[in-house]
Amino acid sequence: MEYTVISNKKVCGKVKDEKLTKDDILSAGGSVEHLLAAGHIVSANAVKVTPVVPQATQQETKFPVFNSVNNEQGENNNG
Amino acid sequence: MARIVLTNVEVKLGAVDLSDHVASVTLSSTYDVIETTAFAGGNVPAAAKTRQAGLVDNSVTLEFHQDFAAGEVEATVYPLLGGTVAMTVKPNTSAPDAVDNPRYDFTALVSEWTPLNGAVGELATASVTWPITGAIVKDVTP
Repeated sequence: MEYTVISNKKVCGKVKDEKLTKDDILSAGGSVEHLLAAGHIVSANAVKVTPVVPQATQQETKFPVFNSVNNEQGENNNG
Repeated sequence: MARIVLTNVEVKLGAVDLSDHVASVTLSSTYDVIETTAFAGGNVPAAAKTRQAGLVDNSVTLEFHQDFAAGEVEATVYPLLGGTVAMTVKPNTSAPDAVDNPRYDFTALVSEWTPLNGAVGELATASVTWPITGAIVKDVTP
């Protein structure tokens, strides 16, 4: 299992963006779980997910649109 | 041997080099002193106390510059609180291990932490003294 250093600290002598193995970490007296939790490394096999933000058009907007004249949403609110 | 001014000490904690956020380090070893004085026996009475060393008590004292950013001091130390961590200190991080640059390896018990400490206008620091569990291993092999 390979990991990539993501913090600005040297981890097992490796700097940011350099890779290291579980054996490197264990032989240096480190703990993979601790380094992951502390934000020093990430799994090198992790898939980078780029969030897709859809470009909402005015027609796709799901927020209620009030009629500026009578404040109606197209429903009969008079009972 | 030359005197040494500490400017580039290496402090590693759980394989993470935190040297750039450590302002001071003290590694100390104190042996229990066990008194062994007894009646001398024969015609010579005991004239002075005798002693021998007992168990050694090791500890490390550090002064951190606190930093709450990801991958910095707080994120590194806080999860270790109450547990043990492998540590390394060395006088000069740039030079290889040698007689004049020994590396000390040990396991510290992270028994205390002060996440926030300081007065108005001061640098946030965290001073800790952690007992060492087991022996300190001194390595001078390059």
